[in-house]
Amino acid sequence: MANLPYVQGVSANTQIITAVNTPQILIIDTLDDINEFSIDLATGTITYNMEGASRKFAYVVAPQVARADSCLDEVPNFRVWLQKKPNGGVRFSDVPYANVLINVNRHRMTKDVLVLSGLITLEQGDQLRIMMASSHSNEVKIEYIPMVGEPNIPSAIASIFNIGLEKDEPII
Amino acid sequence: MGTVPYLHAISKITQTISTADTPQKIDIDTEKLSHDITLNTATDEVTLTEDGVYYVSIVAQVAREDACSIEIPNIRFFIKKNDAEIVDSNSLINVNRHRETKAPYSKDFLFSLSESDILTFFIASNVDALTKLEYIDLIGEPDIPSFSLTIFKMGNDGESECL
Repeated sequence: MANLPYVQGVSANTQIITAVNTPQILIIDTLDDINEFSIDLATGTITYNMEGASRKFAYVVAPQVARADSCLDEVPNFRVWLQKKPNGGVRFSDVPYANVLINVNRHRMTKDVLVLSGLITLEQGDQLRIMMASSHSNEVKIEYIPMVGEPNIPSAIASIFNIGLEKDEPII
Repeated sequence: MGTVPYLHAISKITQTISTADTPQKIDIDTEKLSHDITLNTATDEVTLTEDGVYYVSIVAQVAREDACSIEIPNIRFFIKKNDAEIVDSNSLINVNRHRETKAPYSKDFLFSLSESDILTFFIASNVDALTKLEYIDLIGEPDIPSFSLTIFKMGNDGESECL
């Protein structure tokens, strides 16, 4: 049986939110493993390439969120969500309700992880990208944390995998 | 071979813990994608139609009310199958004392389930009226559901023949 389509990539760079409430692409810059997908590591665009009917995919996106080392006495939030561009489409659109939010509390350098997950339908040529935004600029980032004696912590990990064959689809 | 059963459902309803240490069922009012797993939005029950091992993922948008209480409430999440608590499905987080703190909670499970099994999802807290699952309406990006549920059956159905 052929492998089902999947992709997993990470961000191995710290990415800071540069403008208030302005969606910013979370760039997946390092490929971990892939089948029937491709990633543009410069733009963070993920493309589904498999021929045939549309399929259902599970997605899991987990950024390592951190607060900058600043003295601002406010509690910024951080959001992460998905955008999709259908095959032949001209622009990306938000995936409805695929959004999640965390407050990054006022302690300097607070770190936390949030997880976005769900199901989505994809067909050949569809593209996805991960977006992020914050209520404050230059206060929140996704942080790559190098470690000694254990794995480095990516600033984000994203996994997308097909949950199974579609109806009447033959196993090859 | 049949399509793998799946369900992705969310809640657009803000749900406040009304009574301390009294589990309340999570209201799931919107089905996004489904096949052979049904959601009854009136009873918030999820019903399976095939035996198998299932991946279950929950994400909740937890928030603290805008209240001045100095308490640090906790919030717990657990799952029932056929109205009985699933052993080891419970977990707990604290919601810190800053007013209107917001933080998502997420957890994934693998369960062996049977045809006609009914799943329901619960929250509880040690303090009443201080924590909630919050639906957040946003402009310029997707609204944030108060609860998101993803379920799908793992792998093939065991009846397939390779061509």
